[in-house]
Amino acid sequence: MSNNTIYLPKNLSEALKILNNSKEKVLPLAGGTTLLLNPTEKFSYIELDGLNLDYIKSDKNNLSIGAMTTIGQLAAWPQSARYWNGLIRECTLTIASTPNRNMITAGGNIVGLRPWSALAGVLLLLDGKIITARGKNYTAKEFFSKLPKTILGKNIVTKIRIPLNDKDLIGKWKKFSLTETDYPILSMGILYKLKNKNTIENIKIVATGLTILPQRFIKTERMLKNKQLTDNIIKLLTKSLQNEAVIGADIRVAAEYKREILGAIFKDILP
Amino acid sequence: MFLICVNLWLKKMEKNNFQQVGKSKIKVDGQALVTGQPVFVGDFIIPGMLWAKVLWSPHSHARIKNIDASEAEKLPGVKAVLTYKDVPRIPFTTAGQGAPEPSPYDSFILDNKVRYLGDRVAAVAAETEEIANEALKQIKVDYEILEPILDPKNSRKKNAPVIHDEKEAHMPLPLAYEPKKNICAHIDIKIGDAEKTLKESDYVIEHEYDIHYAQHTPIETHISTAYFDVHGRMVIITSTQVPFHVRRIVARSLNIPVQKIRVIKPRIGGGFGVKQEVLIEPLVAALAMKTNQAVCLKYTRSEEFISSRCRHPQVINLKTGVQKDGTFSAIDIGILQNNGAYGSHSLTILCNTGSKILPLFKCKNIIFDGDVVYTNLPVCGAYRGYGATEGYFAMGIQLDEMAEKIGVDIVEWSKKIHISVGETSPVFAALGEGVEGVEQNISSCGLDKCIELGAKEINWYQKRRKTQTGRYRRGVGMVIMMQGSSIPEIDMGAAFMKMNEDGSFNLLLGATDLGTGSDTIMSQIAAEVLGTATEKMLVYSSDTDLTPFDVGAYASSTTYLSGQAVLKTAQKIKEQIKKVAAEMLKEPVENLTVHEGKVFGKKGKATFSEIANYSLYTKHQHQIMAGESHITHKSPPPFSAHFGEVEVDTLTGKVRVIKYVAAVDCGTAINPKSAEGQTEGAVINGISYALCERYIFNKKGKMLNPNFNYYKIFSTMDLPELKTILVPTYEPTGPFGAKSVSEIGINGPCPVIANAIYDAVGVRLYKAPFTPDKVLEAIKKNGNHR
Amino acid sequence: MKIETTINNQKKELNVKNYTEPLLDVLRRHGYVGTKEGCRSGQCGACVVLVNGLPVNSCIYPAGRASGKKITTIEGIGIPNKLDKIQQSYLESGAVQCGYCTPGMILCTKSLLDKNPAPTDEEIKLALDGNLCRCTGYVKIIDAVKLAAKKLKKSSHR
Repeated sequence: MSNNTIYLPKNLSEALKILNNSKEKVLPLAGGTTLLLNPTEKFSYIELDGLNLDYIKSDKNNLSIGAMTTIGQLAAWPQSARYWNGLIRECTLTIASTPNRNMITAGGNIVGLRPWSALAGVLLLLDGKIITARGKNYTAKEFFSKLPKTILGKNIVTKIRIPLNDKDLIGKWKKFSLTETDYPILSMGILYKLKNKNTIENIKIVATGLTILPQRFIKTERMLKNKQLTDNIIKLLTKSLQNEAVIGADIRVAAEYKREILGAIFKDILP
Repeated sequence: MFLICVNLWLKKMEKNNFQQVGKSKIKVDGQALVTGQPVFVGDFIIPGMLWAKVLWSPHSHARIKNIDASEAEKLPGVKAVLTYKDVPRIPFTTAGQGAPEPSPYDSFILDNKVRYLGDRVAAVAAETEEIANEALKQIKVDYEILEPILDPKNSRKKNAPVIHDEKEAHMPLPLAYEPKKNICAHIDIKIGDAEKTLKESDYVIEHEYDIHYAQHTPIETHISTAYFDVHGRMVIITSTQVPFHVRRIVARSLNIPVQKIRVIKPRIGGGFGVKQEVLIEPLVAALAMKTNQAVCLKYTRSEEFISSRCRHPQVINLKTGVQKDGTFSAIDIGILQNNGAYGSHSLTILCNTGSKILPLFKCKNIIFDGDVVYTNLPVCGAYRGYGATEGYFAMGIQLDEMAEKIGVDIVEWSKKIHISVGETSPVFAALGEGVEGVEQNISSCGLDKCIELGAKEINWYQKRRKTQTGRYRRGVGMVIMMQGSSIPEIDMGAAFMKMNEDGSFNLLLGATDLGTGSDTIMSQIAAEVLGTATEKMLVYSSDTDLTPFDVGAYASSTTYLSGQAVLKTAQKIKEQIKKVAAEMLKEPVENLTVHEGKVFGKKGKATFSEIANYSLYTKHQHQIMAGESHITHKSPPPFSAHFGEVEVDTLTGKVRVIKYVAAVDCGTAINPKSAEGQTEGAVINGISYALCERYIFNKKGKMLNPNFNYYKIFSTMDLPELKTILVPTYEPTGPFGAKSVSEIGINGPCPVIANAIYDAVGVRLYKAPFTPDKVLEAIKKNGNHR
Repeated sequence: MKIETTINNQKKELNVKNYTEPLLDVLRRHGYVGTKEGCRSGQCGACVVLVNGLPVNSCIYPAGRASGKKITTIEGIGIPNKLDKIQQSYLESGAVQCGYCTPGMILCTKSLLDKNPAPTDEEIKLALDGNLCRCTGYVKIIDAVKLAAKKLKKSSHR
């Protein structure tokens, strides 16, 4: 059992001060689900619960999700089933299970990239911005270019901001796994706009579960722009996905298998 | 998803007019369970109790050259550290079986050799779990690393390392045991002339089947607490299926008299066979004796995966002959069974792979041959199905192929090839569980009805052999099965009853309720005999001091064996009640009838309460009480037909079970909802095993996924539509016509799903589990598709 | 350290070894032994309790965080001979075999029915997706939730 020191700051600036001044290794405590999984780790923690960082607000232009909003709250928020054709609700329900969704936070999900970090993929799709306590903000692309912990440094993510200008675009998220509540063998997400029934005007494609970092398939996206979805195009884009994908080790299946099925999962979510 | 249960026995019930039996009575321990009462081992906190932790081997095969616990012992709060030097060197088996056990005595409480990654090295008892864990780190061990055997195909090779080279290892019965060749059990029987008949068969089919490691994953892991009562006698409260075997084996392993030990099984959080093992009690007892304090050992989830027990993987070579006219002519089956590092349940599981499969068919030419080998891998033990799961995987798939070869529908052919009422099989006598079996005739069989109702429910003829194009393809498959009810002539159960003033009864029995509801079922049986309400029974079970003997919950014997002991006991009680009533009512015993908790004479009546009071206080005072034992003389099989519909994604290999139908003949279902619940639980376990459960080992023999994160079992989100159909028959040798039901259900899903996959995509899978990558590989290799 | 909580509608002071001690251990130490340990990794749901009405796995919930929050354990649902309708439904449906997963199942059921009194089969399965059971195959547990919904509806109409 852990004997970690816990700091209980009264506000965000106090939290930052502790983070800066502490000589020992200190981490912000978000959902806490991974903390007790590794009880021998010798960190100290700064409790973020109680700092009013759990909220979901949307105005005309932006959706703001406080970093301590739980995945469960996000899934239950009415607009999550509406914006982007329900992309957020679809994605959040692939994360863990009901009790854990009540603890895993939006911030935790994107900072400590775990096998269940689907939200990172969604932020790449939606061009989300990661807002931090120090004022330095990151685009999703920047934030997930390396391990977010290394990018963040001694800082705290306070909220995620997602532009709402394209909330009528169609989003889809699909997890492929052994059982329904399993970590993904791989997940894919797309956000697209159709020109007419069968032609893609533009599309964004993301995958998680291939490596620690979420991946975007920019070359394949370009290939699909303004294209009609014929059988031939689908064959070509499957190859393109397979070429673009970076796939790491997984004790459950071989990398070749993941590469093989990329196209199949993509077909599941295509219009 | 919804469940429909076809209660065909409603008609039967009316005919038999059962009042208590055949009703879905609420469990007698139900209220305690739904309110979270402290009824599990972990809820008994004894003041001053110490916590035990075990040091596990980091090597698959090694000798302990030197072990030094002195630093660990010095830690404040550490009360004992045990190594092999501190415990008696007495070999025993951990298998919870009747004595003398048909499993090799190849285990010690602690040994100077480790035989798999996760084997026991030393144990600590300390004031807290944290201190105990700290102490483990301080134990210094010098290993001489030996070459491990990680593939059972290498175990018998010449010059293979000998895993059990200790001189003490032996077999307590005159049964084959060759540890120098790493063989811990062997069987071979011949019936008729299979070699000749195969040559004369129109078609011969031969395949090698490979079925895998799995764990029972009871939600409550292994846990035992040993403490001393006020007289200094050791009491072990433990999560076990076999309390009386625990007492005997603990006594043996520590060389203390049975008299000095009391074993109590409270409520337990699931067993499924993994707790038919005297796994941690000897160690906990040893720590308690060393410290003279209460000690509790609780397995973590990863310890439960690695260091308890698993299902026996088998490689089965199955060769069968069939004639054009549908005669199932010959069977030649050869088995290589992996037992892991110790030999518990080795012979009996191997035998069961034959004895629960082969008699089902009217085939009189059989070769059954098998070796069980040691490997340096996690140890295998009893797991629901007990060898039959492995056997039906092979036979169920092969039957489907045989039917295809001769051009008949498997459903129709299944009806023709199975044993029926009045018939026997030479296999019954030839193959028991370890020693010779017991001849028997089938006295109840509802298999045809199971096949008929199951085929109808799944819509077999509309769905079978459909030509399909497209990415997602569906198919249906089926299998017929039998199991057994108890181990005849070997296992024994006993019960005791006494009557109280208010017409209630104490029912004391050794039979072990592991959540199956046996306490409830025994109450129903007793109440039915006595013509009173189930609620009048006060059941107490599985306490070696207070309840009579019972072998425990395994071999599907609780209802059929222990139930009959209860029935006989209740009958004796009934006679005593009538005798007292006759005196009270001044009428001859022949005039009396017993029902509704009263005794009715021609002229008067007396309530049970009046009778009890009279017997205790008024005249010829005595305690109305009786005890009876029972052994069975046959093992009447429950029969079952399973049907499943799957959908295969030909691009990813993902297999989804859409609908599953389990039709089962368990004789009379004493408690229908309980019988359904056993079937449903077994089926979902079986489907999960077929599709996604597996042990992932690295090259050193380390299990890489000892947790629910990476060893996946089904949750509610994975459920197919599941229908259970109970087909009533009446087994004359069972209590109120009952047979067993709890194991047979788990044997269906592997072959059913394999056969359904073939129906869907024309690909046969001979190796389980059917994970998406393996299915996709098979689809690509075999070109696809019908 | 001491933390102030409300457990089963009663104010309760809990002695906690430190802020990050698992709530499971704290609760059991204070006598709430209906909360079970199954895996200590938030995967099996045997340790589920409700915090402010929402189910969490108490084996990975830092006890210090429970300060000021409302906790519901199985002991707060009903006691023998005074069962609540969910508990009664579980018994009548045959949804309880070994009973080890049952407290977690019942609490998730309560959380579901409090918010959604007439759930579909899919909604029931989703609410229980974090509760593993090896005995029942879940079939009768789903029956029990539907029966409980019916019973609760009946009693609310009186």
